[in-house]
Amino acid sequence: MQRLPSPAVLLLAVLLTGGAAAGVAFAAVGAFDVASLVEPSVPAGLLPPITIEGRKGWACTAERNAMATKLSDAALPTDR
Amino acid sequence: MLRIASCALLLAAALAPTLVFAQAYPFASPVARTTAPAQLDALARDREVTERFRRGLDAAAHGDWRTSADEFTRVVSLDPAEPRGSTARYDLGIAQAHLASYSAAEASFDEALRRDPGFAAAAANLVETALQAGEIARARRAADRFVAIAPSSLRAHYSRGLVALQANDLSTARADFAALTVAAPSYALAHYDLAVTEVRAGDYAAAQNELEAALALSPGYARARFALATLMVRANRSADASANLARVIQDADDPSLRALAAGLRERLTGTQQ
Repeated sequence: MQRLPSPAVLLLAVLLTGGAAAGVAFAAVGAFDVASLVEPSVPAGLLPPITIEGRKGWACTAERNAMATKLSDAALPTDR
Repeated sequence: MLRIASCALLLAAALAPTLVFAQAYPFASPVARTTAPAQLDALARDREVTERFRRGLDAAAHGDWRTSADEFTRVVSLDPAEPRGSTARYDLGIAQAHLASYSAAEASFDEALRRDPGFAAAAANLVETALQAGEIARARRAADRFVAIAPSSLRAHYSRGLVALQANDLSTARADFAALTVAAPSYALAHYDLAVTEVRAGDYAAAQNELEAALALSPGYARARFALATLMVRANRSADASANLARVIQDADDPSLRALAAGLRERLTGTQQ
């Protein structure tokens, strides 16, 4: 069975990656490259399955999420 | 009179177990009231569609996407009428996407939309599947379709904004995220994504305004604070940037964001975090 890397090794890899990315941003000649460090938010993700009754009606969660004009109904990602 | 009442009571007691027993089969179908072969065949198909829908949804609820895909593939082969036909293809598409069969999933959502052109959830999932597959051009076409079906939908604008940003179509991204900030002013991510768009466009002042709006709504939003700190670094405001990066290290749930903030702060301050 293949062994997983230890948590310490994973943490070191994450820290080195972070340091390297910061270094790349600083390495841009003459200016700090903000765009290389700032990423968009995550995609909204798949909407859930629908029952045999179909998408009509407010009881269909997926269609309600897709059509929502209110934030509380839209099932969009949160700011974490 | 008393004898009749006693008899009725005894009869009710005798029938009670039968009634309880009958209630144990909530999905029992009524007996067919026909002997015509075509009608019997249609009834049998209908029963199979109903049962396989139930099994497919049950498997999906347990994350068993292989079984779910098999059940909905069989439903699709039985070719039920609407809305079952488009719904079965939608549910099949979800299972296929979870199995990383993205082309098959896109085809299923596409067929669901062909059968039911107003099916917004199918349009939404078509965008997500194309994004998961890394097919940006197809994701963009699907996102345009989603917005056309549901022009007021928050999710439609969010999805198309992200796709447009990936395709470097900054004017569409800006329009979608701006629409989102108007329709849902309390949604911090809309301000954040608008800021990312402005960073890519090189309008750092506008980006800073949006990031400050996002942080006013959600002070613990670590990714927005990190982005604001990078703008401060760029503007040579090292002390402000360092303070914000320290807050990111404290607030961020994502270890890679924490590491990125720590690496940047270390370079700014020249001290080990």
